[in-house]
Amino acid sequence: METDFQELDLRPGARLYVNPTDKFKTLSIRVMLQQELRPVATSLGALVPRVLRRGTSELPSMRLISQRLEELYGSRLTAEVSKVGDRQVLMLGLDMPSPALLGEGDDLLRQGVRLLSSVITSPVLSGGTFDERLVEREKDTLITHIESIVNDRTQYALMRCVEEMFKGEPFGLFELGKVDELRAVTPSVLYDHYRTLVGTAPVHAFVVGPVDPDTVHRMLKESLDLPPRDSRQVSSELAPALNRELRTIHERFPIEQSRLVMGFRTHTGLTSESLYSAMVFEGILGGYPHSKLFMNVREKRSLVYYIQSILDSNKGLMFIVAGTSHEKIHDVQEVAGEQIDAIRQGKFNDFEFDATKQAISHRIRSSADSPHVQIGLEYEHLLAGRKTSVAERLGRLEAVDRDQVMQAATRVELDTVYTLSKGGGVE
Amino acid sequence: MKLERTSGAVFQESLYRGTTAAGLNFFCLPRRGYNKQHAALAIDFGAVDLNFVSVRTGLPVRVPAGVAHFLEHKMFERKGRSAFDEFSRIGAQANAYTNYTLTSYVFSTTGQFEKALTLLLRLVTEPYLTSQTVEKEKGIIEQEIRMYRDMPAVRAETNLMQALYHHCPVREEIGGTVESVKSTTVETLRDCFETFYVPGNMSLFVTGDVNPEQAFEIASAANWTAGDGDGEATGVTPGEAAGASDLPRRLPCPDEPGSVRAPKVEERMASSMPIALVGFKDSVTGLSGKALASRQAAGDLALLALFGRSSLAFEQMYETGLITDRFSFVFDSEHTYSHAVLGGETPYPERLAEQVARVAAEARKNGPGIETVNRLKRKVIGEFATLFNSPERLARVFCSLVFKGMGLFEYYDILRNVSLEDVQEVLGSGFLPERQAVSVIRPEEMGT
Repeated sequence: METDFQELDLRPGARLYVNPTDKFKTLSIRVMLQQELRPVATSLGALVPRVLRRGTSELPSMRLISQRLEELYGSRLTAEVSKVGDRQVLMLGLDMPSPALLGEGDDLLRQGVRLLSSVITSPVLSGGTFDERLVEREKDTLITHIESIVNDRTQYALMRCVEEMFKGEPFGLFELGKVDELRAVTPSVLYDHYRTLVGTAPVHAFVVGPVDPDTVHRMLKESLDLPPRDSRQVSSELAPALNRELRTIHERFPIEQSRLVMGFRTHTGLTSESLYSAMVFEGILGGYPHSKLFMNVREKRSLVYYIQSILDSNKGLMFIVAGTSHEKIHDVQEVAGEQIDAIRQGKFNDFEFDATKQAISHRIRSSADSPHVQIGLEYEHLLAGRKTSVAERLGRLEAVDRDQVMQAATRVELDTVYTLSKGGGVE
Repeated sequence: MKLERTSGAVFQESLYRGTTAAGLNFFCLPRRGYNKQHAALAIDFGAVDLNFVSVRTGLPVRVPAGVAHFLEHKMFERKGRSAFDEFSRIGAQANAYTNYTLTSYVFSTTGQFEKALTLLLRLVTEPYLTSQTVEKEKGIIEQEIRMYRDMPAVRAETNLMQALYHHCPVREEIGGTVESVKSTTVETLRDCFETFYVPGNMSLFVTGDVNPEQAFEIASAANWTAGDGDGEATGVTPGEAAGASDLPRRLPCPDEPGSVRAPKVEERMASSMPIALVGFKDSVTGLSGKALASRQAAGDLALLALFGRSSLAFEQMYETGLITDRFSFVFDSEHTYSHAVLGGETPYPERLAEQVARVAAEARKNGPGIETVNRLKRKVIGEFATLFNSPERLARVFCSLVFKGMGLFEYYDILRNVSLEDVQEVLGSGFLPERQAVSVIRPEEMGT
């Protein structure tokens, strides 16, 4: 049940974490680079992985890379960015079906490792920098992506709420960057930024799957040509106590179903002693179908089609997200607030408490059943500077009592209410 | 009875199968080293099953669109409580989905698997249907329909199905319309329940950290007498329940002409960029079993060869800004319908549709070569192997195959054996210009 990552030196300042296991039919390799969320840099960081997957010196087009991936039995190349606390994380990865399973040997693995390495370290260049047409094309596509977020009304509303909560702060920056910043990017500026990232940014590499750690370690050392760096992490702060009034934002938009997002500060992070009480509180509130929000706002009152809460312990935040009709937005907000008050006052029964603990325990146990979740958790814990085993996490969850849940509920602070609907402002 | 075991040697896995005395089809694929147990109970009843003979009246009926999905919602209701709670109580997470051809009820757990499996089996035998609860559900389903109607990509697809098909129920949205949901009655839902929710029309698939014999024992103990949804069964032994061994009698939908209903449909809605979807109505339908699975596999390969990331067409369309990297395609072949759908966001919907038609026409004359097909076969074979990593995805694929009479390892063999000729055949008959329709979504003015 344990996910045991072995830690190995890759390059000075870069570590490799390998979990050898026959449980999976694939080998998952992930290389993570991190940088601070900053204006412009975040836009450049979002563009880099997109340009890297466009070609290597050996396979100078996306079509040729795709053909190679097909030859490698449908291996999958991942190049994406995410936000982990105040950091932007660039992730480049390869998932390949286990060579042994397909009657192939280490050579297939070597080809896979080499492909991923060259995507990271030897991109296709033209005149010593990124090709201009290629960069323009990727700028356009990324801008299209950013603009299309509005087509997923819920994701858009959540993104806007975060933006409003952290206006002018690093965490308020969207991980895919900003349209006007992207338009201004030139190939040489982007190439310089790429060189800085590959040359100095903190790096972690992960491998999970049926593999001999020494073999994959040797292969990565051979082909992933990264210069030495210091192993310092990018720092990240929990959202501090609110020092302003509650913010209310309403946007008009021609949609059939209105969206409501309530953003809270939890003052609880991955290394906080009270992490597990915050998780149980959030679970009782809105994480599951048995939770108060679903049962009371949807099932009893029929106020929404969906409603749930989301916890971000990297930054110490919680969100309530709902889809409803314009006239009901006010009621939904009120009833959701009542549910938090109820938990503060200890008004939750044994069933809500036990079922939530069991659900979280299920999530912790089953995290070991997915290579990507394993890697994601290992990385988050490395960033937070606190490694915990599955057994330790289960133990800390078990120890949470009702009083601690009430305290966790009391700690949350409503920061911003964001609504998106075709009607006018919401009182 | 003893379970029959087949091994998929290449995957180093075994599949156990059996049939319970009541007629339920049972399948189990244990996964060593997993913490999780996952089960999917699939009913061969989906959004396209609108015409059938009611077992209650013995008469043919035509039910309102969206009824399979409606019934799925209602199956979770118990007298004064929700079946979700019963799963939560023992630390299991339950869910369900309905697509065009089936309804599936699933749970995952890392603890009390036996209890959860018993609950899952009870879930599909005990509907609690009253006019009051059915009326209340209509509001919830209406909100769900409205949510999907706000999604430009979903709307583009719905409109395309309506353009491709004249009569076949695949043209209806899976959840139905606000009107069809409103016209659904308790009687309609009972008709559907009693006709389709019989053990012989269901398949149970369990995977993860499970013991096949033990799981089969639990499945065999299921009580198939429909209770009243408050958890009290009436004590009829399995297999004796009325209709338990009768399979539903589906009626064919009115003859679907070969032509498309409209070559082009267009709608405006709040969207960041136009969307264009091109659909080809296959001229071959009515297949089943191996023939159906082979056509599906050949259709997938044909689309990959023509429009996949490694194709010239993709490269050209992407480089000229006609498509983004979210351009996608799917070949969907079922007994009563078959079509290919491809497209995505584009600044130039007409040019994209023309380009797709041109590539398809060219491929009918001058199709992909054997090297391309062999390379793509490596891809689909490898991707099939990765399915085994995820109990949830494995269960989903299993359920999508099982009612076509197709097993997991059998389908793997079909993937391995698709020939260049199969691909050429599907290109010749599945992508005809006169059977093509285009659905376009254009942005209307966005919010302030």
